[in-house]
Amino acid sequence: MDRRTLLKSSGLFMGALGLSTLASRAAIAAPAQAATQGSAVFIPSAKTPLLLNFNENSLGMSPKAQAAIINELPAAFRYPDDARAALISTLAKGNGLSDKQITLGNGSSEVIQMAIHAYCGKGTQLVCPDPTFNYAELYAEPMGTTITKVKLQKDTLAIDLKAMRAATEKFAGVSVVYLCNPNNPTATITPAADIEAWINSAPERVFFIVDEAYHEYVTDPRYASAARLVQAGKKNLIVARTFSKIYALAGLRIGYGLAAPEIIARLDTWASIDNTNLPAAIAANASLQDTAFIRQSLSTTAQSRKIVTQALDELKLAYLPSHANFIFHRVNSSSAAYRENMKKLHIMVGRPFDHTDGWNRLTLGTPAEMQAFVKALKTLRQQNLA
Amino acid sequence: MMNLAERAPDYIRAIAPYQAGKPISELAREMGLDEAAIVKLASNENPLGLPPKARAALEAALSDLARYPDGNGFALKAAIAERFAVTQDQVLLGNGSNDILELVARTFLRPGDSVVFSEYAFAVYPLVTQATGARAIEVKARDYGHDLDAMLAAIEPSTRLVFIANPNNPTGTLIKPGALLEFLEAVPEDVLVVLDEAYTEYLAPELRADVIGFLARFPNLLVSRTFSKAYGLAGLRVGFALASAAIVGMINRVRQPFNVNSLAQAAAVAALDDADFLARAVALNRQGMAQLTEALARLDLPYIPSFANFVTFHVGDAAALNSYFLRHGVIVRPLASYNMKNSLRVSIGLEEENARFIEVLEAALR
Ligand SMILES: Cc1ncc(COP(=O)(O)O)c(C=O)c1O
Ligand SMILES: Cc1ncc(COP(=O)(O)O)c(C=O)c1O
Repeated sequence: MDRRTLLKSSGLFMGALGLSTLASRAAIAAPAQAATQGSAVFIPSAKTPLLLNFNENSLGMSPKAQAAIINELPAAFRYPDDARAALISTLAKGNGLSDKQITLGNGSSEVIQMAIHAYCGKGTQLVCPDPTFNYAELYAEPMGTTITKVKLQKDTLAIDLKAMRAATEKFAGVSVVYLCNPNNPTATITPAADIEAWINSAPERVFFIVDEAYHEYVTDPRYASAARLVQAGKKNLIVARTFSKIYALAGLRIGYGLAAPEIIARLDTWASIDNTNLPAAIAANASLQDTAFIRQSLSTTAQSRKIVTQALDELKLAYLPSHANFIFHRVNSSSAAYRENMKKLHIMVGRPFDHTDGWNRLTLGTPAEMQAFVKALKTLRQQNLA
Repeated sequence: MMNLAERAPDYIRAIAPYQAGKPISELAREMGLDEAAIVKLASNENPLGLPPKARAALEAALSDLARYPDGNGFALKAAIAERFAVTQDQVLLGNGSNDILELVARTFLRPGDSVVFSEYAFAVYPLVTQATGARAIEVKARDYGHDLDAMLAAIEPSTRLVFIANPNNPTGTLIKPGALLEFLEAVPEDVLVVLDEAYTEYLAPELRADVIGFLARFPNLLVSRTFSKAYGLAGLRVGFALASAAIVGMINRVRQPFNVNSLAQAAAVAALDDADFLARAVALNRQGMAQLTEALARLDLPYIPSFANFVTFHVGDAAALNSYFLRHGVIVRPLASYNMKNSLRVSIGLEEENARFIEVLEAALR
């Protein structure tokens, strides 16, 4: 581990630019919560823009989670130890693991960061799909890690596991493999059988971060969480999950990692103390028990996906199979021009991703929001802009 | 097969995890006690609870939590900048001030560097130092407080950081403004002084250093503050630092983009504006301090005069007394991990909580 590069290198500067760009986007996007709820017609405006760019859950959190927070607010003057312990225990039970196999993060971003800090540095390699969610790369690069990006497969835009594996075989030192399943921005899945075959047969010098931020949305039987490898006692991976997506708690910042006890112990030295706040832990714990809310989120996402795919079919815009709360689809212009045109109609859609010009990542909000989106898309089509 | 955990550098494996105050629910389970009857005086929290204005702000903020927080913390930074008469680019936000301490270490330390702090100073300083692979230079305390002359003398060419807690946790000791100024004047310019003022709100005005004035004079000063103590927001996790724009800018590069959650940001803005609550918290602390120290004196238990919201006292067998407290539903903080195995730290609570502590203490000594 060489921390020098973390601080002084120009690489850090570039990584930091990436981070701050991300952060400021949230600042631009003023919330339109009131307008996005329910099934009433949604009319995007400058004051209430339609936010389909961060893969947040427009439904808002589970009512049980909200009630739990309100109930526990008076205790928020206390450090969060109790609530954290309770959440860890629920997560352990729910995932068939022990408490020592769970770590909490200030968002799953922090779980990814802990793993990168623990395993990356000079003389190590990070292997990641390209494009994918780029935090692993942002954290690893300033540490002097060799970054090896492996392009998605040509037509399907599926993750190219074979090529990623070849990259680890060519590298003599420690390789950290970042796998995002479903992948962001494509919303496609990598079959469990393929991931498991690799993780089960990989040499000891290869460590896997399996980012399952959208895990709860997947219904395809070819998918399975890599948590079952952790259950089986594998020590060469961590599974990162978040409460920011289906559980709608992005503003509270809470995620978790599942791994072998010794991996968790090692990662915890990189976690900031008391890193998850009390309302977050309370809300996360209540959300896990609210199966009705999960069903509702899944069914509204399915409805919204249908509204969008029907329109894309109608407009003859290709798209990838969506296994998450977003969809990756073709546009009839450059991605940047399309985003700009949508922005003029007060709709924020997606953000730039490498090598995929002519595509856009669209968050699936409520059905009412997606109807507003479809209307805008058709307007752009009439003007030959989409 | 090589164990991946063993690949961690020695300096990481050497870290003993931070020991937090025992959770109430855990004690209730272990001892078969009623949670409501347990008095927790272990984590230097604010016994008054949340500031009323923060409570209202939290409720208003609840509806928007599905969205990511403002990663730049605009409203909170603006409120802090206004309150302390600094510019917004001099304000750094943290997920608690622990996050600030860690970010500073991560930004400025690498293996081979050294860090100066005092014996008995806040436990997180050695932790964050070790995590970066830097070397800790621990300077012997004088009367349980910082020996600034010795700390100055301990600075080496490899020294990048000095941590100072003022008042210090767990000893409650204070460095007077004049001594602090002299120290800052003497510290080499290329050494960053991290002045951790987690408990500064409890100080009488004449004991408070003019750190804002210091900031203008010393570009190598960073002042860390928290909303966890006098502001009553420990569970929400928010702290901040004031420093030169250059230093803040550098640290922002390693900060998590969304490190402070939306509720914490909203509550902190409101708490800054709740002067009445702060005044009540400080007054209650003064009374509670008198109540506890009078009892300690009456029971012939020596204690370290404290300027914070807790007091550390010495007993023969602190471990035995601690388990007696636990059995009777009182949680205090043993200090063996600070190498003070004959001492216990008690946080100042509400009058009746302090009374319960005194009652159990008297029974234990009888
Ligand atoms: C794949 C993936 N991982 C992780 C995250 C980070 O989520 P958080 O830090 O909010 O848990 C995101 C957010 O967009 C994501 O898409
Ligand atoms: C001296 C000192 N600094 C910093 C902290 C960290 O507090 P927080 O992370 O809650 O801001 C504490 C907490 O006990 C402390 O005593």
